[in-house]
Parts: sequence; structure tokens; C-alpha cells
Amino acid sequence: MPNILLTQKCVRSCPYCFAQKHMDESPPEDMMTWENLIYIADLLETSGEKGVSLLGGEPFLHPYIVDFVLYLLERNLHVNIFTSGIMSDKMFREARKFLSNIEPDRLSFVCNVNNPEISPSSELERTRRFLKEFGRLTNLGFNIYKNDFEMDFLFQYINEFGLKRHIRIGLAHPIPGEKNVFIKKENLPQFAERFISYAPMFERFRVDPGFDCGIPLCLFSDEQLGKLYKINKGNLKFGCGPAIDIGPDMMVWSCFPLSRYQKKSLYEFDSLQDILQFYHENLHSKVRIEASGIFEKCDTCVHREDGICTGGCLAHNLTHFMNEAPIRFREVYIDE
Amino acid sequence: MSEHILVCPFDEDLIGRLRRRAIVVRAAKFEFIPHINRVINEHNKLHCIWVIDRRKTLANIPFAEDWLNIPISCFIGGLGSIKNVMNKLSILRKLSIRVFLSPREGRNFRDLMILSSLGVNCGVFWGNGGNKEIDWELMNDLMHYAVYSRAKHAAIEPFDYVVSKYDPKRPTDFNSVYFDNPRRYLHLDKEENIALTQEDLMRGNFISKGISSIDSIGGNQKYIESKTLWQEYFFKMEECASCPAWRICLGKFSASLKQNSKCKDFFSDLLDAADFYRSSKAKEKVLCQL
Repeated sequence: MPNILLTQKCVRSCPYCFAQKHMDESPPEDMMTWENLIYIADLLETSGEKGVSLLGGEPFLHPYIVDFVLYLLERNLHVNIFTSGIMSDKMFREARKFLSNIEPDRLSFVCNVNNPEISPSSELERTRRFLKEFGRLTNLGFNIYKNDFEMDFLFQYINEFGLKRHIRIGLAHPIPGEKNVFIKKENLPQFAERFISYAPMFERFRVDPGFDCGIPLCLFSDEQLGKLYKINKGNLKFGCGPAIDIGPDMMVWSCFPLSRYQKKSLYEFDSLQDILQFYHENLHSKVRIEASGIFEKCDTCVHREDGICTGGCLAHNLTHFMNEAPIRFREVYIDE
Repeated sequence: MSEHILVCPFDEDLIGRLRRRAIVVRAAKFEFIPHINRVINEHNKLHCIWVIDRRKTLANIPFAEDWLNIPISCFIGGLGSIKNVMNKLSILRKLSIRVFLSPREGRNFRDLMILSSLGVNCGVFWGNGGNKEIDWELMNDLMHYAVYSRAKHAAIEPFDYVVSKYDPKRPTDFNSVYFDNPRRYLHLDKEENIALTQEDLMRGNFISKGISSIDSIGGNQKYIESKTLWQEYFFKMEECASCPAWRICLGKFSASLKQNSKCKDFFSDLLDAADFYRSSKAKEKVLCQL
């Protein structure tokens, strides 16, 4: 499911933000237009795609977001919106009126939340207002960027607001050449340890965690994988591949951390499959030839060879390449 | 009996006098649609109800289930609230309706693209205002969308008409889309004055009078002359006479050519699109009829 960026503006400034670099370089007045949205919807339709994600920045800063959502639904696409839930009162009223009664199989939200202890109260209030109204359509999204993370509040939110019983777990990854906050690869085992310590909570609250991209399988022991298997209902993923982000200016890239690599115009492609193939062949495969995963042991890992794990987030490898002499495929260096 | 389709206002006396004719009724209000349909189909055949109401937007037209299967074309002020349009889409898609918007407002190009992509037949209504306010580049974008987009979408007129009816051996008059081509449509008023176009009817340029004269219109001198009027452009060697896209434009914008000559580029591109359409149709497999 590709991502459409409706706007480059955001209402928050999360320390781990992997879109920060991209947004800093984009003019804030860049907003998705109707003409571009129709073009994208047509491309998705002819590609046989059934769903699309809307994101930003904060997508609810786009004045036409409600119209866009209603339009995409009429184009028979499932719409998933990544939001902080923070929006103006006017926009909230509009969203409540037109979106809150849509069936969950057509519209869903991923509300990205931060620990309430570090969130300003005005933001929290708005996020809570959103969750209260749209809870039945909403999964929580939680980005982990430090090893002493807390997740108790997520379960509280799920129960308090009747949210979907699923949490999208993201791991903050490096932006090659930048200084965002992320978990360094040598600290990943601690992340895994701490995450598994929440397994009883997931079990007790009947909430399943879904890993976003770039988490290597080998962070977890066999025993931990067994626990994960149970709480995830067998749906375990340890992948990293092109997500496909499309900007308001119709530029396309593999994913936010890799937005400076092989950025292309959407008009260069005939289908979503063409885009995916391009980023597989010209970025992911080329990097994996140079270094198959984020750890040295990835080179000989049978699970990577079997395709169960892709060897962690590509951005870690690319960050490593930046600090050495340019001896590799030219595609693996920042393309500017 | 003449094969012309008659375009007239909705006047029950006039309609009563027209028997077994195909009729386009010009109506001012959407609310009259079911009644017009009933009256016309009693003794005639309704070709279309042509509603012109520029105060209405698509969002505030009271679409109803009893409009199903009634051919309707409408020229309205705009789309209005997109949210309200989305609410009406399920019924709108069921109706036999074609929605026309003016090309003199930039946002209408976008709105036509939205409608077409949502499966609603629509089009540009040029009207009589010349071309100086028309953004031909936006027009070209819309035409490209209408003709070349690979995604399934509803027809946008008059582009669809031009590309599907274009024949390199003869002129293509897209005014048929607006029921204004004398080869196919004749216009008459309550007094049974007959004119070649709606504009002629408004200006009192009648070619004959009386319903009975319609059947012999083929021998009417003014009607015969109208068929060769296009030759005037070439006798005078006006600018349109050298335009490569003459065959599909027929000099419709010649009066305002001095203010805006970009129509040439647009119609040349439309001609290319028509050729493209023809060549792609020619490649399609033809099976024998069973």
C-alpha cells in the first residue's frame, strides 16, 4: 500500500522523526492537489492496488483531506490515515461529520502517539479527543527511539477509547547523513529485551503488536520468538523493502529514511509494480549485494537466505557506506 | 418525415402538436423533469431534457429515483460542496445524465476531472462567449485526461464525441453534444418558428415557420445554404482557413481569434488525439457477428 503525502507540514517535532530531513527540504506550501491525487488514484487503479495510506507531515493540515478521503473511498480504495490526531477544531468537526461513520473495512487510522509524559498537554488533549471520536477505526502507532521506552500507556489508551487491539510498532531508523535520534544497531538487543518484557501485557490485554519495517529476526531468542508468535497470532514480519512514498510534487522515493536516494518523478513509471521493481533493483538489491544486512553475520544467515528476515533496515547500511571511500555501486550513495 | 430531432421549450400545447417526433426539451428547472418525461413520451419520443440552470450546483440538485432512465443533460454553475456530491454519487451514477460546466472558470476543469474519474459523464459547455477567457492549457490537460488516461473513467464531452466520431474525410461538428448541429437538430419556439441553431432562434433568424414545414426542410434554401456556410472561411481566407484543426473546430472561435489564438494549438492536439483513438480502434480485434 503506497503512501501519499498530503502536506509536508507537521504539528509536532518528534526527536526521532525520520521524515524531518525530507520535510525540512520541502517548501511548506507544497500541498497535494486534486489533479495530482486523481493521477495517483488512476495509477493505483490501473495497477490493481486496493488501498492507499495518507500521511504528512500531519495530513489533517491539508484543507481538503476530508474531500480527498471521500473521493478515494469512491474510487474503491481502502484509505488508511497516519495522523497524530492533532487538528483544528474546524477540521475535527468536519472529520467527525463525514468520516466517523465509515465502515472500518474502508477507512482506518494509525494514530502515532508519544509517551504522554513528554507530550505537551495541548497536544495530548487533541489526541485524546481524536481517539475518543475515531477509536473504533484506529490502531495505535508507537515509534521506539530509545531503549528505556514505556508502553503501558498504550494499553490504557486502547481500553479507555475502545481502539482496535493492535499496535503498530515502529523502530526509529537513521537518516543517512543526518543526526536524528534512533536506536543504534549495537543497542538493538536491549530494545528486543525490553519489548519482550511487555509480552504479558500484550497477552493480558489481547493486543497484538505489528512490527513495522527493519527489525531483524535475530534480535530475539527462540524462546522470545515463541512468545512473539503467540501474541502476534503467528503474524511475524522482519522485513525491509520499498514502502513507496509519493510527495505533493509527484516525486517518489522508497521510504522516508531513504528519501535522498533515487528520488524519481512519478511520471517516469507506468504502474506501482514498476516503481516497486525499480526500488528493489536499483536500491535494495544493490545495497544487499554490498552488505546483506546490518550485522556481519547477516552474510551467512540462513533465515535471510530463506527470506524470513531481510537483515534489518537498509538505512543502517547506507549510513555505514557514507563513512567510507566511494567504492561501491554508485546507487548506494546519496543522489543529489 | 424529417429525421431531425427537434429542440424546443417545454410547452404542453406545442408538444401536443408535435406527434411522433424525437424531442429535446429545454427546461429551466430540474424539478420539472419527471413531468416533462411523462408528457413528452405520451405521443413523442424524448431524446433528452436539456436543463440550463447556472444558479444550481451539482451538490444542490435534488436528484431523485424517478429520474432513472430519463436522458438528461444539464449546464450548471459548478460542482458545489464535494462532500455533498459524494453523498449523491450512488444515485448520480445510476442516472442517464451528462453534466456540463463552463470552461470560463478554472476550477471547473478540475471538477470535470473529478466527475469523470468517479464515473459521471460530463463535459465542457462553451456557450457563445468566444474564447478570450478560456485557459486553453487547462482545456488541453482535461482533453488529455479524457482521451489518454488508462484508468476507467466516464466520457468528457466534447472530446469523447470528437475522437469517437472523427472521420478524416469529412468535418466533425461537436456542437451535436449541445444539440446545436443543424444536420441533426432543428430549433423551434412556441410559435413554431424554426431555426438552425439555438442562437439563431434567440436572435430571430428563422428559416421557416410551422411544424408542417419541418418534413420538407431538406428543400429549404436557407437550410441548404447552411450546409455549405463553412466554405466562407476559405473564400475569405480567414485565419481559421489555414488551421490544421479546421475539420473538428469548424471556425467556432474565429470571432475572438484576435484576443486568444491558443485555440489552434488545442484543437491541433485534439486532432492528434482523434487520430490516436482511430488508430488504436483499428488495432482492435474484430470478430464476426453471431
